[in-house]
Amino acid sequence: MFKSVFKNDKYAHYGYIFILPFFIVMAVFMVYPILNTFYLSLTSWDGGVSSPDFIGFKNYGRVLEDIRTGGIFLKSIGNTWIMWILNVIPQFFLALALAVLLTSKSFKGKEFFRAVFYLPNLITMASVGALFLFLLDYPGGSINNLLIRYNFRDEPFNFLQSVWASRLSISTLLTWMWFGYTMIIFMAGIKSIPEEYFEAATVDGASKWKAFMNITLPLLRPIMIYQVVTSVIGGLSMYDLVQVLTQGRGGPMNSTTTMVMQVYRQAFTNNNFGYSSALAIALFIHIFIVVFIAIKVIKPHQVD
Amino acid sequence: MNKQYIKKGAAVVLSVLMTASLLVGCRDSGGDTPTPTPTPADTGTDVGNNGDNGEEKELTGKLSFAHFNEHEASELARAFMDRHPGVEVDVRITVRDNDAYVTAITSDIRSGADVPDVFAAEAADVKRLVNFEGGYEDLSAAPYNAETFDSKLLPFTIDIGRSNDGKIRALSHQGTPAAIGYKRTLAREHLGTDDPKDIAEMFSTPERMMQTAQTLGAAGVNIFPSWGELMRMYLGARSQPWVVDGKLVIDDKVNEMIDLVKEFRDNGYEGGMRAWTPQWSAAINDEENFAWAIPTWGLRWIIVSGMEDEEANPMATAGEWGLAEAPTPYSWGGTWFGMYSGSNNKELAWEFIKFLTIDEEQAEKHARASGDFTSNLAVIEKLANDDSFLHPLINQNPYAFYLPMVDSFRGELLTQYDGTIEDAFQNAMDSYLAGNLDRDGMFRQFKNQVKDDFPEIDVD
Repeated sequence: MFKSVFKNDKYAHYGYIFILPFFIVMAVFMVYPILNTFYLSLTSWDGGVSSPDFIGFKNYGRVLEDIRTGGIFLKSIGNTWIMWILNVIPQFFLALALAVLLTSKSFKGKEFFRAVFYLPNLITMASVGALFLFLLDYPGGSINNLLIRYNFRDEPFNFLQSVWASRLSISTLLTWMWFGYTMIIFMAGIKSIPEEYFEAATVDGASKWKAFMNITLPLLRPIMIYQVVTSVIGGLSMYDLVQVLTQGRGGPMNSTTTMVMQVYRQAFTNNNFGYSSALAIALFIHIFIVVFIAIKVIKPHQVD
Repeated sequence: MNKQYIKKGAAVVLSVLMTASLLVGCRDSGGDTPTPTPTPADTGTDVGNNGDNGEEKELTGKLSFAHFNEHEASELARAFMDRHPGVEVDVRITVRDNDAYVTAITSDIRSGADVPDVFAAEAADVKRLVNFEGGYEDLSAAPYNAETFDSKLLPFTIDIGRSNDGKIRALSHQGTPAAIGYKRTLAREHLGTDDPKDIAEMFSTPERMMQTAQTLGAAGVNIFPSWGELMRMYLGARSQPWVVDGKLVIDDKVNEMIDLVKEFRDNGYEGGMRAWTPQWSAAINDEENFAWAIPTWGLRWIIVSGMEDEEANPMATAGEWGLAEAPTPYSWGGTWFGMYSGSNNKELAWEFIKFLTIDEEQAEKHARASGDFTSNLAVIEKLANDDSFLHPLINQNPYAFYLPMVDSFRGELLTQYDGTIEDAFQNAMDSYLAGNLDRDGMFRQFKNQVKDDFPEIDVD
């Protein structure tokens, strides 16, 4: 292979040197950790200085047992999906509506709004978590104080002790943080649709709504697929916001524990690195299958 | 030709540099920090017994010291540097929130890189850290011979610092008996007395506590800001630890506490807050919450630090708080110090640990300056008998007050599982108290969590 490259172009081998840094970094920081995680998942290791004990597939047996008996890992899969879906549906609707609005010619000040809507995405998740932990506190948090002062409630509401209120709080925060980012991606998609299609539609007497339904939406589909896939990957590895907001507890009653929180807890709180690695591999397989199905079902290559 | 070589050479050098620059963030794993002090490992000299009375050696060198409380750590480091001007103590702080401190220390030990010479352990983590393989040095062995310290330090603090194989691995500079800290003004106003003996009587049994809560509740005052206050008192008063012979044990005291707390919550007698939240600290200043679980260190770290303007606050010096005995003596918290078993700096590290614990001059100085309750027996004796030593906040001598309790504590009450088990217990209790679970559901939730966290523990 090298020979043919060298034969055709005497400078071609520089290309390998130039891409070498990327491959070294990828090997050190991605390939090695993944392989090592797989190795650890076959061991029992408390994270101490002695070497891990090889125990075969016992940890995977425990993962399957957890799933069979409705344990905390199974619960965490459900929680992650519920919070992701509650976040992504409003997020996409909001982002699409604003993207259409901000790309319309008649709208003034779009640069300003684009920046403002994007702002929440610039704050780190952990800071948002810490801030809302304070705001949602019971009984004397700021939100409770406001609700009582303006007579929306007689008594403080314990947001983080209610299963659905805590899940909804997390989803709403995620929507708030990500709708600006999604909006910008959608705006780029809408702008790439040739203007002629809209002009032709106008000439044919189509209403704005019809043009949106029949031109914008279908042509935006590849972008939406991309957004769904990246959002699934990000959503299923949901961690930092929930970890901080629930102070690592995933409360109440583990109803907000996410898959990654469970991986972290088993490794670093319980020093059970073998089981944690098996959970990480299960998480990897889960995301892989979901993305595979998403791409197969939506068939992006047939869109155009 | 020449030009091409230069070009080629430059390309290779550049790509090597670029690759290397990407790895700049990686840590040095050598663990070979140069240390000016020799190791005592095989010298055979006994440095264990000349701690506070031997002739003062001039120490030099640099010591790294990890802790979770910046204020406390820098004070201790400063005191050691003042005593030994040739020593530099590098303080490294990681807070305990989200278990960050233990995670940082254990990751350091695992990698063997840049592990602090001396690192602290809070009571909730100490059993985990003393049992962490490759972590703390065995201090029972020569040249340290810390077993001889039981005549110098509170024996229960020594037992807590033992690993499961019985070796001493960490020592504490504190004893942490605890009591009920209350606001004297509210006591006078609603209970008719602020005398610690009378107040102690009002908290002496669950029934009396309920009556007191009713009286206070009628006046719109919560007996406690959070149920965590009762949890501290009752957990510290158990007769068995959470895990006995590999089996999860729910002590009778825990059951008694659950019933009492539920009754308080259902009647609105406690504030419903969670300990260590901002509102819980702010409640120190209000007139709606009466009493807190206050260990020796709590005078400073719960009461004074909860006050607006902290130490400048006149409340902090006005004798406005009182300390009353809890129904059963209990202990809460404390900090232990041990040295890394792979440290290259063990002699200096050992000097530092001795300085913090058995050095009487330092123990007394620290106790007087901070109001902390030392573990040093000679200093405890001295301060308890010093009538002029009054804590300005409570107008009582904390040593005379806490001293009678210290004999009733046993180190065996702590296990390496405590932090995680107590967290699981609190979460389940919070859901029970909020009405999301019934009593059985609470126990189910608690036990499932323990089973998931520690499959090796037998849970029925």
